[in-house]
Amino acid sequence: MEQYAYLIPLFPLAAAVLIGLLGAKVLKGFSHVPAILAMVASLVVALGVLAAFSGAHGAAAYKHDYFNWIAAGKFLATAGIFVDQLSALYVSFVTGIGLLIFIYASGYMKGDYGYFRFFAYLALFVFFMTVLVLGNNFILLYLGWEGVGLASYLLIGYYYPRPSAVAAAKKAFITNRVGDFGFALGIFLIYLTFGSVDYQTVFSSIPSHTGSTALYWIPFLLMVGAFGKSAQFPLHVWLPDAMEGPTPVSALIHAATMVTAGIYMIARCTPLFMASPDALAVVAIVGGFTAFLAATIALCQYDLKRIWAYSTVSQLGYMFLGLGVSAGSAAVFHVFTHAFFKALLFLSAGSVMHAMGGELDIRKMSGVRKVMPITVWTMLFGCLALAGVPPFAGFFSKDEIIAETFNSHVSFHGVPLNLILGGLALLVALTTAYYTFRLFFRVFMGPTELPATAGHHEASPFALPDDHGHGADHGAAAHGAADHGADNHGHDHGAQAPSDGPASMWLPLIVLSLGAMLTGFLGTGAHGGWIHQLLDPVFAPGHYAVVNPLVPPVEAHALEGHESEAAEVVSHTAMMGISFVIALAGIGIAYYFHWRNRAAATALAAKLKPLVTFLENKWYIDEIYQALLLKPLWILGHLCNIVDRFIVDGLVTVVGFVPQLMGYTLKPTQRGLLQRYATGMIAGIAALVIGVVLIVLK
Amino acid sequence: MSPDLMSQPELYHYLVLGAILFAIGLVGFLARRNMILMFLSTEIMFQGVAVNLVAFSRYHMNPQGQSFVIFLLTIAAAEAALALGLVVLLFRRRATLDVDEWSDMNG
Repeated sequence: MEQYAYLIPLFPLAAAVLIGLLGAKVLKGFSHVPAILAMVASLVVALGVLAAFSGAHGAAAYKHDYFNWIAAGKFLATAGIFVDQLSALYVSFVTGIGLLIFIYASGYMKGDYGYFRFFAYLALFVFFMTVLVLGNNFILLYLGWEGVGLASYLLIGYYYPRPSAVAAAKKAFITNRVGDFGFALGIFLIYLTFGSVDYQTVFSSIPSHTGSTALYWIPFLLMVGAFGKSAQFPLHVWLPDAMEGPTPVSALIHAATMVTAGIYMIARCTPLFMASPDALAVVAIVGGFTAFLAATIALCQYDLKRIWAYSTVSQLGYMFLGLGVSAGSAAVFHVFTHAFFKALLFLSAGSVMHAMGGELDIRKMSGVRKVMPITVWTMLFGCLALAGVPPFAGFFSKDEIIAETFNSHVSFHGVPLNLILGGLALLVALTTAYYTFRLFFRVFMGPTELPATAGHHEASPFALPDDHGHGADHGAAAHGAADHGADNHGHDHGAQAPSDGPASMWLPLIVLSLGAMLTGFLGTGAHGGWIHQLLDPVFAPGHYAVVNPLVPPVEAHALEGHESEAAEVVSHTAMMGISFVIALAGIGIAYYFHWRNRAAATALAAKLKPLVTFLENKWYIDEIYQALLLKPLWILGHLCNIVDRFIVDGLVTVVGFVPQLMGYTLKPTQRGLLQRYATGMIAGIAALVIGVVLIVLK
Repeated sequence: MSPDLMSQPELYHYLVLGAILFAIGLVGFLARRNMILMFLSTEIMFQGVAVNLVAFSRYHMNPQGQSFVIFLLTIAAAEAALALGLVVLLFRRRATLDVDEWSDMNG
């Protein structure tokens, strides 16, 4: 089955091209059909590939080159796939969750101006994401990496008449450029060191470079790229702003799949990271710190989607922590479960937003359970999974990362860090449980109180006249187009009772709820459960060895690591108990402050005013960047502008002034009087004749 | 003036006549502001040239020059009709025949 894996990216690509070409004129309101069909096809292939790998334990990776993509001198980048357990799992959840989100979006985006554009971008995103995880070399990885960045940029700026959406799109793109710069340098260094960009060639020749400086620095450069894409401190600032995009985008790209590309990259490059223990420690430290930073910020946010965005940053921090303590399969397990429950949380938040007419402020709504009987349950399941309550998915994966952190030998220049990072992870678990249920109790419990906009369709920015006065024509043009769109679909966007929305919206929520409830069990049982049996070989040494078909594969790397840890600081069972108690404590605190006694929360917030302000302003990180980076750049830009305008442009103006001056001197001769021209002509002829005559006479 | 000069017109008599006609036309064209008179002046210059042509034709005993002048007169008649038509149109635009009224190309 794995030989058909190349089809997985091709279906969404075909859909993207088809929708892009025909969407505006032919498909219109049916633009989601090719996208959903392509996703179904890709999902079927992806599941087939996954089944092939989960059947044969420790199966060798499938590698195939289709053609030479870039060949220049000694440099060769092929277009080929590398399918192993890791990429099989990744494509499965990318296409699976993608499919559910596509279905959800077909209901959520209905009647929106630019419906086809939305689905073309989404399909394009899935194409690049699957290329990213299936490619067999660093150049294809980079192609997918930049491609998902592009799709993300297009989708964050989807509501382009809204200035904040445009700003957020630019912020995401530019912040990612910073990370990608490091990533590109890392790839250059890999090529310089190993003379190849192919995974197998590079990873299998690591032993011959042991101890080299390049090997020490390559992981650091790659890490910068991962931090950019996966929103880790200090490059995390773009992700919360990316929530300007439509909610299905937040769910698919900015929570479930694209942001986990950094995890994929580091997991894929495990052999490189293993060769540089300091790099692993830095990954763990940054991951742990980001988890903490984002979790604390999430405590004091009021925007539904922003809370989940910070939560995503925090959970990604957990995953990096897992990678940093060499618990790769635990980290990828968390990626997998997180994809389900975070997509669920975002889509549920989207349903709330849809019902409340675009309102996202949790202070303006309360007791929403009465009007949204399905969403309240799906949101609850998602929250339980995020908070880490058994038997929901997040419990197993998060717990495993925390336990692995305590038991690891992570150290930076000889300083053991496992207890510090483990303690930090537990603190984050408490914070997570609290902020998750703060949101849940605020929005769904307590007396029913709906914002004034409830029941109205969210005002499309395409229909809004621009408040700021820029581009009034823009607003007007879009207004006409939006009216047109509404006519097309015959859809009434007037006031209705706020509800769970159409079946296309709540059915995916139910499927994702099942995922959030059940996927955790994939990581329990003998030998760490199905997921560890699947993934452990990927992180074992020898995974990238070039297999000689004549020699049967050695089973040496088959089972490694999971239970063989000799000295455990905390046993997994004890850890489960501790984290369960911590999750309940967090939920209990949230229950008291945000359901039973909301006045107490207000009073406490007033008492802790400086801290609350600090967290409400997100640790002032945006302001620090503003002062340290943007302001100097702005000043530099203005200096350049002055130089350009007055010195460079000045020279050009002077040069340009010469012909103008000549024109001014000659202008009075052109009076438009016929007889003057005739006089001039005759005088000229006379002068010529006299001249000729004088010359002849001489 | 000598009597033989008076008795028989020589070539240069005709050339002087042509030059005088041409000069009158030129001065008229440059000095008058009335479009019809300016046009008339161009016709006079034209005739001066025609006289030259006929004179040389007779002098060289070559009839081509004279027959050419017949054509020239015909075309001049057609062109006069056309030019007067233009003058009428211009007159209708500005209600005057003053050529200085048409100085739109003033730089």
